[in-house]
Amino acid sequence: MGKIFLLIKELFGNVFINFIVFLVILFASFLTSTFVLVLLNVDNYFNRNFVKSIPPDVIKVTPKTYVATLNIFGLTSRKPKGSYIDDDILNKVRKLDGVVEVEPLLVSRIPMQVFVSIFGIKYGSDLICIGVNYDLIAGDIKDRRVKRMWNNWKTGDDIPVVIPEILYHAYNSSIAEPNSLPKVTREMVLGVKLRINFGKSSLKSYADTVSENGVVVGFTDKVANICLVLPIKVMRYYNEKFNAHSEYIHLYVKTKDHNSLLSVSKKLKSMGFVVETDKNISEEILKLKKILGFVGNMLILVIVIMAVTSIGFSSIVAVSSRYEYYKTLRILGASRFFIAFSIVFKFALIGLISGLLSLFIFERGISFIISSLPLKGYFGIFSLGKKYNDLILLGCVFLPMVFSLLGVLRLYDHHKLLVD
Amino acid sequence: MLVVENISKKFYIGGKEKKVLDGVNLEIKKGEIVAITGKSGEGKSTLLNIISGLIKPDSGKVYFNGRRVIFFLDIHPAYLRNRNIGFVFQTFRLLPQESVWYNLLLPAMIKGFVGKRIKERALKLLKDFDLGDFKNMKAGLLSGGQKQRLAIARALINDPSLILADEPVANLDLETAKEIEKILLDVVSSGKAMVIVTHQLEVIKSADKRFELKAGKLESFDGKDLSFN
Repeated sequence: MGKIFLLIKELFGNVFINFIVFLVILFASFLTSTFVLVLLNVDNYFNRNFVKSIPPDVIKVTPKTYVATLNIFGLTSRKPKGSYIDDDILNKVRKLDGVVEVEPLLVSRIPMQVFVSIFGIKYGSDLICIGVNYDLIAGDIKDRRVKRMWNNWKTGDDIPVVIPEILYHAYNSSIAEPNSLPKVTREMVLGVKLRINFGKSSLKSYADTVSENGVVVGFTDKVANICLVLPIKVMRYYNEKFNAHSEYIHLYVKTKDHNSLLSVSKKLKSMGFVVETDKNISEEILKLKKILGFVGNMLILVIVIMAVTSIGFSSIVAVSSRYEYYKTLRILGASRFFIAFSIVFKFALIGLISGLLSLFIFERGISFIISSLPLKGYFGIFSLGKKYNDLILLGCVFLPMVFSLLGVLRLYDHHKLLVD
Repeated sequence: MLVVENISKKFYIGGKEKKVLDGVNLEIKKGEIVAITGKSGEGKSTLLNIISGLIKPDSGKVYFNGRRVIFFLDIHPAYLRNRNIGFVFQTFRLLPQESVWYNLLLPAMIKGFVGKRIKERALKLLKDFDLGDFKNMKAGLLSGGQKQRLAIARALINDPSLILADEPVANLDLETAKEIEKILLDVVSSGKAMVIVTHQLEVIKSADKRFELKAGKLESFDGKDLSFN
């Protein structure tokens, strides 16, 4: 009972200095909280207005060129890593950390021919076809009917066909002009009927060749190959029908953020593929983010050092101002341990109360003030959150404890506690 | 009751080593008064601090009631100080902002429990030491004599077997000094032992053992020559 009374007495001993310590901790934690909130909002503003509004570029993945040769036994050697993309590799890429979406471009692996009638003249040509998902060309062709045709195609239906911009320009400049044929406009080409042969070309023909009708539904710049763009469903169906192993000519990989763009590019390169992307924007944005983060952390460090110094200084002064009292307690039979415990206990309690009060005032006061100011576009975070609150409270309790312990160390110095 | 065996202690003052105590031996029996005198700075207070366990000697041993005092971690000396030793100082060492009652009960609070018996004892001590009317007054407002009487009462609250008095009357006028000397001698007559550091010839003469601390050594003192004072 007596010792508990002495502990309570210690709490209320030298009330003025204790109150100063209380105010210092309150002010320091309040200042730190405010600063952390401002920096969180700066970071949030930067993320919202720069990092997320400028999305990372799409990564274009292409297998390395590989020409199969016969070995000394007359067998073709196995394709090296990075020279092809099949379904297994596609799944691996989809599972890479930071990858959000992968758009595959499935190339035709069978002989194909197309016939078109334009200006009353019938043209025929062997060709390459690439199958894509509607999502890839959705930005170029915003037509629900085409979307339905693309996604719901089944054998016998007209095949929707998209012309790559590069093919359109190549025809006008390299075929129409040199051969004195009339140039075509987009309007002329749209809606043109095609006859597409699957399993047949001018060089090779399979036994069960299939001929399907197609219709030109639009143009795209998403595929930069001299080919026709068809629904991926069609291409997969006919590749499988003629037992051709499906392989992708490109993958378009979308990443979560700029950071992921760099890491995914690195991983894809290590898988042996040719990777094309504009990394500069991502790198610059990340650099800017890093610099901002560094400056913010430095400022927080300065505030924290100031807070720590003021808390420490006031704690040591508070202990020093009561040395005579502690000396008297020692003479009368209090052990150093009891005196040290009562001091540390007092500072932990002062820290806890001032920390809780500061966080309460901060959460209820500052957050309310900020949220009621016309800062909607700039401030998006009005509360520090549990993680920061816990950290600040921990600092409020432990810093005074640690610094009062430094003061207590003098109690263990015989010379400092010599009784006159 | 108390045996001090071959105690040595040195301090470093201004980077120079000063040997304050050099192989001091002392034995105090129950009810005995031991007077120690000597020039200022000869180590009288240091010896009292070592006897009470406030500071650790560099070498040597202290035995209290046959048991060696273990200085490690300050737990054993603090226990002995609280229960078996009463301290009286030249500077009183009271808490001036606290009441007379609080000052008086402080050693009992450190001991643990302040019950009815202790309170009755405290009231008796206040009455015996003529402080009954000042129970609730702040200690800092008392006169020098009253402060020293309160300090002696506080030293007796836990009923110790040894009183250590470090120049208890040096700060008091002649009349008050005589009064305090009488109180201290009365206290010892109730069976307690006392080690008193003093320059008062009368007190020295009334002691059972007399020593002078000289160059770190404790020498027998006949009580005649106080020329150093």
